Amino acid sequence: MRKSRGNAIVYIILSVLGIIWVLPILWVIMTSFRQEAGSFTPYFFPKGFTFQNYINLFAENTTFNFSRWFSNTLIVSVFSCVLSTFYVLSVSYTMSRLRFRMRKKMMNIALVLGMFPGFMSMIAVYYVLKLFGISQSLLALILVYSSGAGLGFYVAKGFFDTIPKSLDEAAMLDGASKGMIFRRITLPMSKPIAIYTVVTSFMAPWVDYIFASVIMGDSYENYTVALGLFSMLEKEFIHSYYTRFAAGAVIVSIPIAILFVLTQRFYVQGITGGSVKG
Amino acid sequence: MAGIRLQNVKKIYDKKFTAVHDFTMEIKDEEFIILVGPSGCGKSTTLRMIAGLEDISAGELYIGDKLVNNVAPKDRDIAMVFQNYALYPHMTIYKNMAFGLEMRKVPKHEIDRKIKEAAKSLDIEQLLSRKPKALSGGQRQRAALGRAIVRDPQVFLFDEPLSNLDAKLRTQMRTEIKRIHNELKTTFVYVTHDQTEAMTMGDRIVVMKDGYIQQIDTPQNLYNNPVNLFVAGFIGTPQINAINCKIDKCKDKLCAIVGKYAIEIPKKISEEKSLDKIIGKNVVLGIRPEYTKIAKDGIKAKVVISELMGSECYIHMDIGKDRIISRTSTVLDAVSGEAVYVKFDMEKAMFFDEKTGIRI
Repeated sequence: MRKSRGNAIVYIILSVLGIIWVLPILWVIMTSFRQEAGSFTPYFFPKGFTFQNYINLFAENTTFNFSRWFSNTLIVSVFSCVLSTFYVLSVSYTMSRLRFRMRKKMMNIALVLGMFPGFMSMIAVYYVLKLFGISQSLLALILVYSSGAGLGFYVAKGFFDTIPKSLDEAAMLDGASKGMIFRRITLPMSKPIAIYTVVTSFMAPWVDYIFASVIMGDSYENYTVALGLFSMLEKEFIHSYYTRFAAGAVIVSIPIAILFVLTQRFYVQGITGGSVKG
Repeated sequence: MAGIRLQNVKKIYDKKFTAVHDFTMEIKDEEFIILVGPSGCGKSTTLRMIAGLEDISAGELYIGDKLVNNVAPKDRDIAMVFQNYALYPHMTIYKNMAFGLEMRKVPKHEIDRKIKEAAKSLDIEQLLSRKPKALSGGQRQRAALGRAIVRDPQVFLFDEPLSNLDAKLRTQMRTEIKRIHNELKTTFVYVTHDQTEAMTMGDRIVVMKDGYIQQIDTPQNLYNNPVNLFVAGFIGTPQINAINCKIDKCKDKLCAIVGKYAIEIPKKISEEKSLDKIIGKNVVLGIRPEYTKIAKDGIKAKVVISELMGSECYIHMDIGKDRIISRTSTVLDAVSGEAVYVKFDMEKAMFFDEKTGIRI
């Protein structure tokens, strides 16, 4: 009796939280289908529904070239994702499995560096990129997003640490090289953490605004969606483009949603079961 | 097929801690060698040095005639069975066994043939398509054995392979491993802390303690002629009785004085060991429980507890400060606290130096 009452309270709290969470998303989706223009309406459900916002988003590219921005973002995210994943997993594996001088110190330095927010280095990064003549380019963005990724090795390293060392040793005696052990033994066993790394390193550049805005400046051509969508909210555009902005926001969330749906089945527990006694 | 030669092999960790001191021994081809000792004695470290998983700090290691100090583990042509099986969890048993062969670029049909053969001999044919998770402990250890066998290595290394199994399975696997050794006719080096495993499986046993070799000998010799008190105590269950005593003269013979009792030492032993030179010295008398009998007269002892093992009975007793055990086949209902008399079969007595523990 007491338990079910407790459960009821928990469910009520969860429901309220759920509604609070879902409401803004619903609202954006509603707005994206709204027929009447204007930024703010005193009502939740639109008076008329239309697909025109979505069509215009891609069709009209004189003022805002959304399809270009979208492909920019996709390129940057995919490349950063591949590079970052490679960096993170390599560094994690190295820190977890290889023993070399300065290993502990390097891990500590990484920890301390990780405490500073990335945008502290923003201005310096901007000038460095300018020095190389690659500011305002997609390459610059890819470099910025992926090159620091190796510092975020802690989670994956923690996971690798849980894989028994005797597996590596068995593979070593079986004739596998370090690289082979990583590819054929460690990685297949680390699917959850590899997927986690992929998802996070795809999402970070996909949704980043600060670095993109500093590096791209006024280069409209090379804008990412975050920058582009935000520029729709400037004073002179906001009234006529607000619903289109909402449509853009919905589009932007689609790749991430797809990524999650595709990868969530890999988050399987107990993947190491049966390898060693336990 | 190859023998192994260890020449003054040493393992020093972090320039401070020496795990293995001057390990020198020659392991013959096709020999079954057991490294045994309490935990932390350096037995596993020695095995891992042979495998190449640990660097050798000093000394030389030969497999066959080849110096392998700086040869990578994969090029040493050895296979190892780990205590925790170390099967690759994401691969089927078949893939597990094939992995090492694939790495060595063995042709596919050859791999298949070898795996089928090994699986048949280990009776795991029906498990080949399963993953390790779906196997019981015993089956996993068989699979791990199979993975080693298909490689056809010169030397097999076992790092406490049976410690994770229950008692019944352990006995079963013991005979299994022994059978495999007879079939394969390869050199086996086997690490264990279980002296029963050591006694039943090994051709020769290396007893280690604190990184030093104590004795290398056949099981029977270790039991009958231990070089020191440690080996005497480590080999044999229940443990050898160690009784503090003093060598003294009584009439024309020598005696071991235990408390107020004088136990005559047979002439043969006292002459062989020239005990007359240490008259008056305190020594440790070692005598196996099966040579310690409950009798009508003899040394008075107080029963602490008696353990009934079915076919035999262990009676724990106190003589003065020393705890001794008698192993008898007759069931004796000794109540704790009861006073009994014990007699030693002094023909089987051993004497050890009181301080160093070295056999006299």
